[in-house]
Amino acid sequence: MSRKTAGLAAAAILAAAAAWTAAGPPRRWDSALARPVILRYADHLHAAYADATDRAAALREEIRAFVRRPSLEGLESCKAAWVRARPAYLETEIARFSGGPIDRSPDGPETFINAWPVDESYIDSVDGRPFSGIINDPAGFPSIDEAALRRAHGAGGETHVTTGWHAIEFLLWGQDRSPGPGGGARPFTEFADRGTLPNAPRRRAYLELCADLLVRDLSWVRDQWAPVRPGNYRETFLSLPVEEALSRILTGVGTMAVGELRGERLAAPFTLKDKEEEHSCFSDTTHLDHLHNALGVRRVWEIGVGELARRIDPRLAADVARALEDAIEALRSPDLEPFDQAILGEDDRPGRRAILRALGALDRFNRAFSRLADRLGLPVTTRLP
Amino acid sequence: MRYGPTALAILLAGCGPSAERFSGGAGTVFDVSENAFGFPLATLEPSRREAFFAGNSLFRANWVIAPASAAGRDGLGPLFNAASCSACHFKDGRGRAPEPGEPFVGLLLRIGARDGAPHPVYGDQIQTHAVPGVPPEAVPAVSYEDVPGRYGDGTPYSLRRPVYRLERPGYGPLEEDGLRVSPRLAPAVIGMGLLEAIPERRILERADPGDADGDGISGRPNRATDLRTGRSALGRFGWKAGRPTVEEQVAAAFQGDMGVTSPLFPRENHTSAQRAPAGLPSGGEPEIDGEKLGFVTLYVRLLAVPGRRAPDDPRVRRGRRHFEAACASCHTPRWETGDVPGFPELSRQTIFPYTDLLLHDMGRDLEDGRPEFEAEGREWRTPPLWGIGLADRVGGGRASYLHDGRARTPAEAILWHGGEGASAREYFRALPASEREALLAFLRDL
Repeated sequence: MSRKTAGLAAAAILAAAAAWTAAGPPRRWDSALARPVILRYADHLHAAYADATDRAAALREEIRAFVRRPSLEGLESCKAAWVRARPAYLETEIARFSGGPIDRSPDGPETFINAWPVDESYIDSVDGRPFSGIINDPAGFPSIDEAALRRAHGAGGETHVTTGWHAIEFLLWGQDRSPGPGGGARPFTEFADRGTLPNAPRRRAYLELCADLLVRDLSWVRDQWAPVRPGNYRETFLSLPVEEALSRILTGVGTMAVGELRGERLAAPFTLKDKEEEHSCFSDTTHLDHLHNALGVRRVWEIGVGELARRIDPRLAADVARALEDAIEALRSPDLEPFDQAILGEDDRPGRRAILRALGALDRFNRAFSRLADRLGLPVTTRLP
Repeated sequence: MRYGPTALAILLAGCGPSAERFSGGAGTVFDVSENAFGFPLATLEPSRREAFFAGNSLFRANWVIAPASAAGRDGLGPLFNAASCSACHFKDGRGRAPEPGEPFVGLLLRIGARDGAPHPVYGDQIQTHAVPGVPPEAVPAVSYEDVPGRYGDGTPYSLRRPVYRLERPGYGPLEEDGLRVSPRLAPAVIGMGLLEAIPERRILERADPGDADGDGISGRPNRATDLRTGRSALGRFGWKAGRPTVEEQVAAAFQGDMGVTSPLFPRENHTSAQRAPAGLPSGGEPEIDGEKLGFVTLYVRLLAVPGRRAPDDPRVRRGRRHFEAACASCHTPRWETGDVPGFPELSRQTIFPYTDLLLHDMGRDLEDGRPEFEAEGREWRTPPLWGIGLADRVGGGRASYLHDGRARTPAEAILWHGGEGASAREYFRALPASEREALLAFLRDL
């Protein structure tokens, strides 16, 4: 590493010393091998965010049609569009934790896009609190507009979420009140004038605005990765020293697979056995979240990181790939649907066995991946030792 | 017995700035993003991964009103300040003092008589929220008075002194004569297990209650009953060091701040004189069980401390020398942890928390007039400074400092030091601008 840069890079440089002493000096490798991989990663992210933006835009179209004329069919179309749109975003999450536009400080929009957990009562009425939430507070929020929602987001703590995937999910499906399987069951009449809940016009406006903001935030990230836009993140990224760009790529991928997916999204619900641990609890699609996070990791491996790894250490590369495939296979298990039921009971139940397989595979992934980073001489923190 | 400046200098000479890079021992993490405080120790035992992330989730979770479908986390209130740990400890970082007109999030008000006794009706803390049908205790409000001053070189500065009001009391007269209000800002929760692992006798060795060495700095230990053992123990946590263990600190916050009872604090936080909150459904007895409390405690004990970024930078090194000269006698740089059975990641670590965990008279300006165990009205525990350079980043660019968050910058916090801290303040005030900046650069590197 020849020069210091701001942010994560500085931390990366400091951590490098530790990585080098832990693993000995890295095997010599030709950094020219990495250039094409870095370029393909940037192209991949541009395409992945473009896909996520397009699908969010399709969701917005359904929502616009629905709020103009609320109907049962309209609400079902919106839900279907949400389920279709979400995987594309989940596969981009490997770009978090790496100093990129999605979550860089201070302007990264990640929190507006995918904040979780959501305090539903901050947005709308919930069981037993019919007048709670921004939607039912015309005095506090005379106008439901972008400035109001951005300002209120996180204002009273991390769970005061106003926007993003899970806010839209809550508005479309409603609270998950079922003790057993099944997500929320909000009737479309809660959006209809003279329907079943007060403040329907505000509820419609809120939903449409959330869809707008989601598209706007995603397209901003997409443009940061777009080719030939002077001053955007892609330009910065491609001008980084090779080791540093690669270290950012691996830190994002590793943190997503290990800290986020293994730790927060699988281990915590597995340990607590609590329905509330489900990320997409309103729609009951959490199993798809996990699967597409893992598939996002595989995409980065396929676009060249895997090939680079094979050149450095074919056996380690094979270990990483095998562990990842095992995790994906475990996450495809039909026993994981719905996830809030899969986590219940004893460890010999099919759902918990599948989660244990995924946890074990991701542990193997973590070990092999960390060794690989050491071999490359790159400082990579995956949030788990 | 405490080390004089010379002994300290020798102590520090043994480990140059580079060794201080690992502020939190071998488990130090190197991340400077807004998530910098959210990592487990890099040395976390693999067998603890599940529990750590379970604790992480409970730390962020919103507790809800009982009875609820979310039976695992119901029992909020009836009176409470916040619905989750993370509401105040945002991203495991510190709270921010409210601006005038803003609601109080991350800053709570303890109350009591001059002798420390709780208020007969309101108890020892103002809970600003309540479940439906129950009045909140009060709506606190703050305004700030400008307090102008000048550095030794004539450069003016302006501090702000908070004035609190308790509006709309829900249970009868509140602000009677003699009521003391003690504001408490939520601190960052990093490195707590390491602080807990410093041997008690080592801390007591540094105490100098009667200022026997005549350096103007006393340093008194607080003592409290350890609820687990029933024995008197050194208080370490909280702004007045009123809690001896991380577990107790966590359980006390669940009860006092969220109204969630636990095996350690099985009673709700309202007094028997408050009739409205009594008789409401409970979220179980206790509302957070021992296992879940254990997850949260483990999470808080094992959160890592971020490492230094540029300890060898010449300006930072200059700032460090000023710090040693003026601040290090209370903000003790270096400690060795003892043996923590079953926790190799906390045992025998060299750490740089910059605290002596002792109480010091901080002067009239910071006095709350409300004793807490051995701590008197002007006494506050030296807060750890590790991670302080990232407080702004983690807190979204708006961190505040000192026990009540009145200081908007670390410089303002230094300028508020009085009592035993007055000499440090005067040292800082007298420095030329470039050297003040060097000291602040050192703090930013922590």
